[in-house]
Amino acid sequence: MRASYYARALHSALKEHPEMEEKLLKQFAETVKANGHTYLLPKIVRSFGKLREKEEKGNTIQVTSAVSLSEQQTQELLKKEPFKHALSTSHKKVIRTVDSSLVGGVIVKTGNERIDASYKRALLDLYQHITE
Amino acid sequence: MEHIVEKLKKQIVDFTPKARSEKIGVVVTAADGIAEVDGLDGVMMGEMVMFDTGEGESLEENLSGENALLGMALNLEEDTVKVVVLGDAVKVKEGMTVKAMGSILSIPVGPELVGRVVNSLGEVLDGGIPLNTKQRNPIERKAYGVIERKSVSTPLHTGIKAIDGMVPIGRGQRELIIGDRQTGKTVVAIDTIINQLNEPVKDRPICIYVAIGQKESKVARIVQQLRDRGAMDYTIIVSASSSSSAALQFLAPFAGAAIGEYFMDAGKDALVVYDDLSKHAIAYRQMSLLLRRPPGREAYPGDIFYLHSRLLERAARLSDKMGGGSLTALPIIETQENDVSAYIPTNVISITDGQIYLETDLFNKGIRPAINVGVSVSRVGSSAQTKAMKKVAGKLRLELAQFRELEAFVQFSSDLDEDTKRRIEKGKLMVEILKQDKNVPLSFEKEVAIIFIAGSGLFDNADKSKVAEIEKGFFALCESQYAEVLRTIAESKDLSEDSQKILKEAAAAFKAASKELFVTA
Repeated sequence: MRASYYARALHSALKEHPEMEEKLLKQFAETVKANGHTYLLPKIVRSFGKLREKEEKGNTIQVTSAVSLSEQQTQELLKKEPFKHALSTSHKKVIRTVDSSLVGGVIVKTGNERIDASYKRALLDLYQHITE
Repeated sequence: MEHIVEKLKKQIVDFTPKARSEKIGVVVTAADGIAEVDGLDGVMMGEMVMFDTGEGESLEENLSGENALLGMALNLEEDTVKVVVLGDAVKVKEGMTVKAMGSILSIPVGPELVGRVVNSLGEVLDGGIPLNTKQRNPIERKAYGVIERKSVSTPLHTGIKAIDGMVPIGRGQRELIIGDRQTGKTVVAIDTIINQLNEPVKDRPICIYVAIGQKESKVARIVQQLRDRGAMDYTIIVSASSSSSAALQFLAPFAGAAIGEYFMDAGKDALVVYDDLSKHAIAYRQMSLLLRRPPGREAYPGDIFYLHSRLLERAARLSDKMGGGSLTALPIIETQENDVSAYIPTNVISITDGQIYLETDLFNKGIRPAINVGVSVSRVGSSAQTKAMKKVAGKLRLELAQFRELEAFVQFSSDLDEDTKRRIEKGKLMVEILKQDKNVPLSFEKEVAIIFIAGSGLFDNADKSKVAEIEKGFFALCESQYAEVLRTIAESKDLSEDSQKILKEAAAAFKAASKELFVTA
């Protein structure tokens, strides 16, 4: 039996019934004890933490731009191509960062995907194109 | 200059930058050349990934930076992906972004590589201009099937009398060179490469020497040797020295095979030397242990056989429909104390189409190349020999075997019958004839000539301590006064009755002119 299986089951149950959080946690502890897997609890906690972190990352959009963007500007940008189709509606939190090395444009990161529409990338591609 | 400016202007105007969507991951841990990456959803086994070392760097720094740091996804685990770093692992940091490239690892291939020294990723090591090839071949590729192949029937001359006479190699064959350290294994391979100078240009194969885990000084010496002899004009060196990471040493032979396949697919012949696969197995073992793959016998991973079988199966001779090209493989294995029954040697022996076994004892006795012809075998055999060589070398192996049987009686030679004494003397002569200096490969017609004359009995009374001098003198005479017969043998690949007669005349003339080199009864 793996700790990650317990963690996934708990995570899924909490997601489906968020209103029953306290009850579910109590029942979970009893289930683990009844199965004789109490020794896995520290690993289950770690695994659960990783799942939560992953979910959080998936629900977060990081927008990195060369110059500072306001919230409104960011929202408008995210409604346009190519960001519009790459992003799902489950995304909630938007983090804005500034990186002047991009020269211009933006990089949008979410979960395990990155959309690079920066001028730096375009210039590097142009350089490669010319020198090939 | 104006037209260059105009051309650049057009390229800039026509260029359309596109936003790129990339699958990414983040480095969680990095140690011993292995990076554990969280993310990279949907990454394929063996897919190329790139570590974003340029993240946060300015455009200037990116442009002036070294080649991108690549990796290969080799362990797809439940939560993470283990990536082998193909380069300087010191640059990998925790939290670094890793992006999937969407393709299996590939290297640049093409005629532009000829004469160059490259690493396992196709990056130049000889200080010359970077490669600009039109094609890239995947490092790993499935070998051709049975239907696409043709039997091996064209010889690949090594220029070494003992090999071309008794253990002939054909184009498309896999012939293992096996022996202890310092027995002349690399010399056999290098002499084979140099000997291709004696082939007509249209028949000359492209040679690829893959150095795996070798000393940089050795590779440099080999490159210089080949350059001095003019062999670099048709040779490519792929080097993953002992200071390279285990990953690059693991990839080196596959890179060599990918380069050779380009020429094979183009209908040409190619020869690839893997020097050596013992070090390759050790590098793969190191990588597998770091990837936490379960160790098997001698701590090698369970798929060590598959590692070498899939590499060596890529050597083939293609059918005429597929272009008729070939890729010949000469893998080298280093044994410990002549133990050919060890794990890796037995694996590779069972894969290849024969082996050339080099022995330390023979080497120390002065028999060089130190080939044990009793144990050495070519499973292709005389199908890979020309008619001329078949005629003269047909009985050579048998005569030498008989000589070895009788050798024990040498100390009693005064008590033996005439026939036995004759066989012993003949055997001693053949052993001397088959000796050859290193880096002096012989053209095929000269090999035929000397083996024919030695077998004909004309040199039976040669002074055994002067056989090398006799051989040299005989060739000098043939080149100056009997050049036509050598040319005839080279062109017809046969030894006609007339040619035999002329060679005998040449031998007789040489004997008459060099009586001091022969023993009078």
